[in-house]
Amino acid sequence: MKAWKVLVAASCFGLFMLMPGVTQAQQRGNGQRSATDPGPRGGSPGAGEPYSSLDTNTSTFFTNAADVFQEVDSVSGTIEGGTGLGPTFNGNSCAQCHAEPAVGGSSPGMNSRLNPVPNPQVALATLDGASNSVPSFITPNGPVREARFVRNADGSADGGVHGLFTIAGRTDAPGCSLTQPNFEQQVAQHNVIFRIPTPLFGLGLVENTPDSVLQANLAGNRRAKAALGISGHFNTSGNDGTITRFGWKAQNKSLMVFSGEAYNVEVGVSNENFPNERSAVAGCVFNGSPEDGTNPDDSGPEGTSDVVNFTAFMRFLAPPTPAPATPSTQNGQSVFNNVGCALCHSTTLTTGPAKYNPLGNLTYNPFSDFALHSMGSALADGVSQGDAGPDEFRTAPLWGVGQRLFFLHDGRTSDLVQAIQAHASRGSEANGVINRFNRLSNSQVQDLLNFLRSL
Amino acid sequence: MGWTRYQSALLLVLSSVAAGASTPPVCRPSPAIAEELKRAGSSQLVGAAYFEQNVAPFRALRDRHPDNLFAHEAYQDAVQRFGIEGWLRALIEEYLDFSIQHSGNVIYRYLYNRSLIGRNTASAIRGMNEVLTEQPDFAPAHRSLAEIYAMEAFRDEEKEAIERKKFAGLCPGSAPALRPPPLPEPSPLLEHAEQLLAENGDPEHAAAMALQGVRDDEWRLQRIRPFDWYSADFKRRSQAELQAKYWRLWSLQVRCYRKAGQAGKASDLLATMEQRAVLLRSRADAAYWDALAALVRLYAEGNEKERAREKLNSMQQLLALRPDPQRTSEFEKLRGLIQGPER
Repeated sequence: MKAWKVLVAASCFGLFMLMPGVTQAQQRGNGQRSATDPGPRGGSPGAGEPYSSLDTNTSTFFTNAADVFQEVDSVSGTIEGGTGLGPTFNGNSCAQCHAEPAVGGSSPGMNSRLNPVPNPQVALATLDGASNSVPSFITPNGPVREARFVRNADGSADGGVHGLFTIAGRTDAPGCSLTQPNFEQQVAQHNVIFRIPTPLFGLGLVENTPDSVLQANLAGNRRAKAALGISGHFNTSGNDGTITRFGWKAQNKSLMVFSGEAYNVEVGVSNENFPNERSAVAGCVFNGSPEDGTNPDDSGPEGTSDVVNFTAFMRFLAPPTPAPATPSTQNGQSVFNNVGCALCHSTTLTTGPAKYNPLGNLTYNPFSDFALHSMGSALADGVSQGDAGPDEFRTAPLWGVGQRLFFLHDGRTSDLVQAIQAHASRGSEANGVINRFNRLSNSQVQDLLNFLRSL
Repeated sequence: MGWTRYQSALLLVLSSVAAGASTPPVCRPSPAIAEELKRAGSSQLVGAAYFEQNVAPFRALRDRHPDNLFAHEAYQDAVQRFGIEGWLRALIEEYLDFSIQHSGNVIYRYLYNRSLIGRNTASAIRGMNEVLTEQPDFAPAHRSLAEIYAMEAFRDEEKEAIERKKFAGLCPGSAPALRPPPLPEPSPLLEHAEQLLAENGDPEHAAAMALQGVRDDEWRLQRIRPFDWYSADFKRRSQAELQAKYWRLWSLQVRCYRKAGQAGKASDLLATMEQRAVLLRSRADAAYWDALAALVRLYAEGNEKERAREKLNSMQQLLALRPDPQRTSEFEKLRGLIQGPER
């Protein structure tokens, strides 16, 4: 019996989850060479530019907004131009983490063909005199990460982000002595989970997709989905009941909320959306709140808040451009559809009418349904956000995956095959699809991987 | 120097009011409290790291005498003199709580409004006037208003004279305090460090001294930024001056590394400076010019003439956009640095 058949049989009996380290090579270990992830696509970044059809004013606005997105923050604006870093933080600029393959992307890394750089969080720990130690899960070769604790010390649910670093020791934070959380203790107690930055390309289209389109898409192919055990549901806003769609658990309603939350949580800059400083220990708060806000003294671009600029940058950032199709990638796309990947990683959606010209009534290819699905025990992070349960995640959009360096919510792998296999474990809605995937021939798998790396 | 004068003035007020025994208890502290106040303020240290040491004696005094107006005022003054934004915010919240807890007590309402002076002085003025509407002879409110109207940012000589007169009538022999408290002088340590290095002093010592100087000035800036008794323009200028000091600090650090034979560290810091200069490019203020000038000097000193020329070209472009005789002169001097003989 071929090894892969044994494996499929095993997975039918629920044993697959007991073998998380099983690799494609082992599954196809009959002397035949396994299909492999070709790795991040080289060449020019297929992303990072605004829509070419922007009018002059919007284009100028985008250019300014892109500058603000790349602005670096220091505590009081004395070292770097931006103000408001900390008291706790994971990064000192949006573009530091949203960097690959271009500004607005996901985590940078050493395995980039375009711009190989070590994880900037390592140097950030001690930048400008800061006295942080680098947690064990932040490594030069690894992805940029944020850390969340699953539970509080009293056993109640936490789920919140705990800043990796504090401003203590920095030249511009005289007197602050806030200490870092004891991450190593949390790691030892298996109480810490990670998230990597989501890419921001094309998000204006996602924001402008009507709920009805998303609902119809999720309701489509009902029989095929049911046969494979796929259901899914949306995360929704507690304020107005509409579908939320940004973030790993689709927990954020809009690009504005997404920007405001990240600015406060990741950089430590309080703003008009999230006006209260986190970890506001009195001796470590150096600025009035909100640290970022509309400046009534200036009606020009300088008067616009950073969060508004971030929103504009994301809104007008065009989706990634895939590589030209080849026979292999065309075949791979067929495999992608036939196996059932496309049941959740929806190929096309259409936007509604839009205030901003290029975003309206457009069909686009996100490869996501923006719905939440149970992803099983191997991917579960134990964190609930809104309607998203501990093992549920938003279908990760696959546009741009060809140039992405790290996969899954915690960036645990850089290998597409491992990322695909991680979809299968006890309770995952993807088990049926992964069973099919495991029955593919080597060449089919290779075509599929080539297709994904073309996106 | 300024701090000592301020402390003397404060003690003079406290001791002068302590001299008269028949004035109301809100005019002056009792001799025992005056003595405790003197002791609490006897060993004050300048610097952000010393907030707790500086404020703790006043907090303890207030805890010992929770109903004493002067203990509260001295605590508020200590927090304002040594605290940064977070402490100042906490102070206001604390006194807001007190005023709610003691809603019928005019002293706590007064103290809450007093905590707003320098933070939201317009509200403090409104609040003090409300206190006086309720209790026209409440001397501390007159004193606070006189202090506010004497400040440059809220100067109103006529109102100051009225309030001062009313206060003097209610508390003969007393005088309002000087506000805002004098700022610490900018630290001379960076200059000293530059001099030390120029005189072939120990590079490690020079670098540490320069760093301490900038830390002190960061703390000084925190004595400026949160207060509305300083103008927005003064705050901007102070911030720009400190930004310029950072460029001097980094330049000094590069020189120290080079002198200590740590070429790698010098090169890493220069790379960071380059990145920071790029981010200043879109700024119209002097920061970008200063950054480029610093880089030209460092590259010239390191005999990296090509890179120095690149920066000079950027400076020339800035000059073309905004002609400026002073900058032209600086530009020529810098050009001279790389046109000289090979080092």
